[in-house]
Amino acid sequence: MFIINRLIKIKYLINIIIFISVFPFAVNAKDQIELDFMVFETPNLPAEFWDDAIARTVKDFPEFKINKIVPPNVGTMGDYLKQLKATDQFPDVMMSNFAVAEFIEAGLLLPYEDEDLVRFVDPVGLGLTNGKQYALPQLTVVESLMFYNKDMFNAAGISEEPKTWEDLMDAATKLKSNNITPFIVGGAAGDSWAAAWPLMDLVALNVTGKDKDFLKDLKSGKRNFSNPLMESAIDAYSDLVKKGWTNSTALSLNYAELQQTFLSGDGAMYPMGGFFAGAVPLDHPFEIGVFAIPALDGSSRLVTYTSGGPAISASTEYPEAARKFAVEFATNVATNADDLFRDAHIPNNKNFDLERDMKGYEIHPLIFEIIEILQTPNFQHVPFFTFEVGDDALVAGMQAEVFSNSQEILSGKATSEIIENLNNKIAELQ
Amino acid sequence: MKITKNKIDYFLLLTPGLILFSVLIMLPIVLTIFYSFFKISFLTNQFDYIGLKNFYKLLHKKDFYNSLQIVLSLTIIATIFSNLIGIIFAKLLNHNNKIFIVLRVLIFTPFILSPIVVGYTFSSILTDNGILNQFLAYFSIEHNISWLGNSKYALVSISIALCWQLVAFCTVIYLACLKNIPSELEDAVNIDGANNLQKFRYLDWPLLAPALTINTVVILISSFKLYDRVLALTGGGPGRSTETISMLIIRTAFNENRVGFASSMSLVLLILSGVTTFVALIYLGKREVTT
Amino acid sequence: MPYKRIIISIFLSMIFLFPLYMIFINSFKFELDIIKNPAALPDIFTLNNYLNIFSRSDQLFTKSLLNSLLFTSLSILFVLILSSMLAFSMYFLSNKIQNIIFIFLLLGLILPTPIILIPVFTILKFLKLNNTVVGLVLFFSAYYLPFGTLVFRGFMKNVPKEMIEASFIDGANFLICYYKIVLPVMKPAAASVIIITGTWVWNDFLNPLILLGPLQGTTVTVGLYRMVGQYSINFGELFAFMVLISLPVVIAYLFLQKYFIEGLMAGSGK
Repeated sequence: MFIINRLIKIKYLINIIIFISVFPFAVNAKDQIELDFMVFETPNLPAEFWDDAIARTVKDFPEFKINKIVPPNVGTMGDYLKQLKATDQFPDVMMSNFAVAEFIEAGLLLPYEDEDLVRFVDPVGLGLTNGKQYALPQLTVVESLMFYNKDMFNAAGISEEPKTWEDLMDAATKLKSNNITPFIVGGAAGDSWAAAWPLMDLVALNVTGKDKDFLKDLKSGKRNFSNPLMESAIDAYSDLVKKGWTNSTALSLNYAELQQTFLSGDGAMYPMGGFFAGAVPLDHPFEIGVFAIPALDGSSRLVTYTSGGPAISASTEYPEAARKFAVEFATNVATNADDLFRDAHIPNNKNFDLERDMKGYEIHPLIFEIIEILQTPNFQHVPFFTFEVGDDALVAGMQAEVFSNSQEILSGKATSEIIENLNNKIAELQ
Repeated sequence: MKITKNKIDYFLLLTPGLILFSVLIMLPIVLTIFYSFFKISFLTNQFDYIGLKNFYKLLHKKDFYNSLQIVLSLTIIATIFSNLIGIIFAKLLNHNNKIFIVLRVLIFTPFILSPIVVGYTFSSILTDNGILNQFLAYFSIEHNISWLGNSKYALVSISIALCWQLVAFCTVIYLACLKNIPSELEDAVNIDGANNLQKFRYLDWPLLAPALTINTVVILISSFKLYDRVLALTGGGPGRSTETISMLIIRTAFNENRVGFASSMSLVLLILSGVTTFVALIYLGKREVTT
Repeated sequence: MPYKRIIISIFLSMIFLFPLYMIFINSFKFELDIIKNPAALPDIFTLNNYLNIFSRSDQLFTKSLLNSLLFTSLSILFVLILSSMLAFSMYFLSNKIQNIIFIFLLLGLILPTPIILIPVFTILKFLKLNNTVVGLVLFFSAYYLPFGTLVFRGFMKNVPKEMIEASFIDGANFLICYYKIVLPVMKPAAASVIIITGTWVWNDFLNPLILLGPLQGTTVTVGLYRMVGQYSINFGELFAFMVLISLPVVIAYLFLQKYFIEGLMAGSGK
């Protein structure tokens, strides 16, 4: 009797021990899906924005445990990802704020299914590769915008926003004769992408937007950068420098300083993407306006970027869960609202309602103006140069070459030299 | 002393270091040579044998000659400048007064700072509205120079940041060497009534040869390594006007996914730095007077 | 009293050391003050920059500091042990073999690291040591082994031959000889190796960036790079960070500068 009692108690104890030791694992294994999630921090989107956004999605879906990864520099996110890949630390999910084409081509990203894309107004966005979408088209950024200092325009007697390239040149001439620096451009060291911004806009508006086959031919080696359209696009940028219409400090400013230069009133016009609007304080000393950068030939074109949402690693342990997290993260209306407020990222979410979801935010009027520009009818939307995907993608390494040559343009190098550099590079890479 | 017994424990002492060195230094060198004959991408796991194609491409790569020339210019400037100022400082501080002892200690501090710290330090001094331009403006000298934004001046800026640390090093090495000059020789020269210039030329200069060798070799090694400083100051720009070889190699390997090509560049760099350093060592070493 | 010399020396030193002064002094200023008067003493003295660094949400500084401390001390330890062992062993070899090993090691001394970073990474990956502190430590140990060996070899020459021979008579083998006699005698050499290797490892930027990988925490140098890359530059905090990460090395140098110079001389004199 005694022994049997003993045995029963021991068996009981063993069961409890087994239960206690297995239970946490059981719970963990089932409930917690751990994902490495790479985001990017900028002055407009600091750590708090991402922490809040992640917290919102995790609150609704507590099965996820998210490890946030931050690259050292937003302009070199692509390079950082390559390092992560080479060191076997490629994140499960990553915000696609970089040139995704080479990663897609290397088979590193997981394609989304059609059901993942139903919540988006425009599911194609930047484009498809082999018919598949690899980066959620979470938001739209208008890239070819010219912000301007209204006080300076008034002082120079410019009464209307420039509609054509000739208008823009006239305005610049007027500004210059009033001793106002017409354009603020630049980008030094790690922020060479900022120096490339006007060039990327000009090429998209005047080359790739006009000649649909150019990028395909570039990729297949049929053509190179020697091309009258490309020459006039580069000329347009370098002319600004040659005429003395740009700030002399261009190449010594990093992005934050560049932005500050315009906000301090050192120049009249600032070509940049819509996210600049998120950095303008509501009570800024002078009023800032915005218009679309005109194409050289007068066509109505606008450079837009509809993408930027999460992409999934092809080698992730949890493909379905990762896709689910990505979709939920990208379509969380509160996150969309915060993103719109801070960085003028226009949500591509069917569930997003401007009036309802932006209550409680005091949005800068500039953001509304940008949305208006985006919704202007009869504008051909063209993709942002160097960020294209699929057959239009640039070979790896070309984007960096474009960035660095933009700095050369700001140094005053001739267009022929720039084209030669680009041609040499593409020949070398192929 | 010869090894006569207990060979096992001897090998225990001898081999770990050598094995580690072979595996993590020599083997990678061999691998680099091996890789340079392939087309490799870590992104796509590509590994194709292409023979000498990388080297052929290298011959025609403008960026490579650009980086070589940048490193060469920096090396020459650094060698001349640092040694010159190093000797001047050393002679100046070579006294036994307490003040000089303190100064000697302080002067070496730049060398022990991290190159990236030095890079950011000078990037704040050399900005368009930075201290240097403010200083020049105070004395009404041309002060609108964009030290970091103008490709012509960017190299000068890097030289400044580089030499700042190297001068500290050279000074200290020269000081140590000066201490080793036997005082009898110095007295003898003084008695002979030589003036300062003659004294320098016939006494100091030959006897400082060991210091010159050390300094030059260190400068050569530092120049080929240049990465952190340049990254902080100009990021290789504007354009590619300050991109050193190390930066080019890293960029080619990581940004352009061309590990094989980067390896061929590394191989050339290895041969170059090896030959240059050995030549410097032997040539300058010959000048050294053994006491 | 060579007054002229003193005045010139102090004057030149002040100009030369100005950047140090600037970083230090500006770390105690508010941002606007820095922009307005970079060279002057603080208008309003503040410790805000330092406080902000310590209260960062990602604890960048403390994490980087701990990481750097960890692998710097481990690297120093490995280099000390391995290079002293190697220098000691070489003593007993014929001159010819010694010279061969020397040239072997010399190659490592002049090698610029970017050349071998990628193969090193591949090898570490093969050994399953990629992105580990151990992997990085092993690499640093291998890289600074030549230097350590040179320094120790220099000091080995000063060890009296009789001492070594005496220890063998007592029936000791090489290990015991190394442990009992050589180690205590080579203390000055060890001090030099510690401080110089420590400085170089602490200040290293590219190797931890690539070998340790972006996720395995940062080191102080990589932390500095991340600070700059992230935001509109807050110069005050940047300078404060630079002061903080340079402080350990500077303090170590000031206390041990004798060994620093001696070590460099011995290593370079070969």
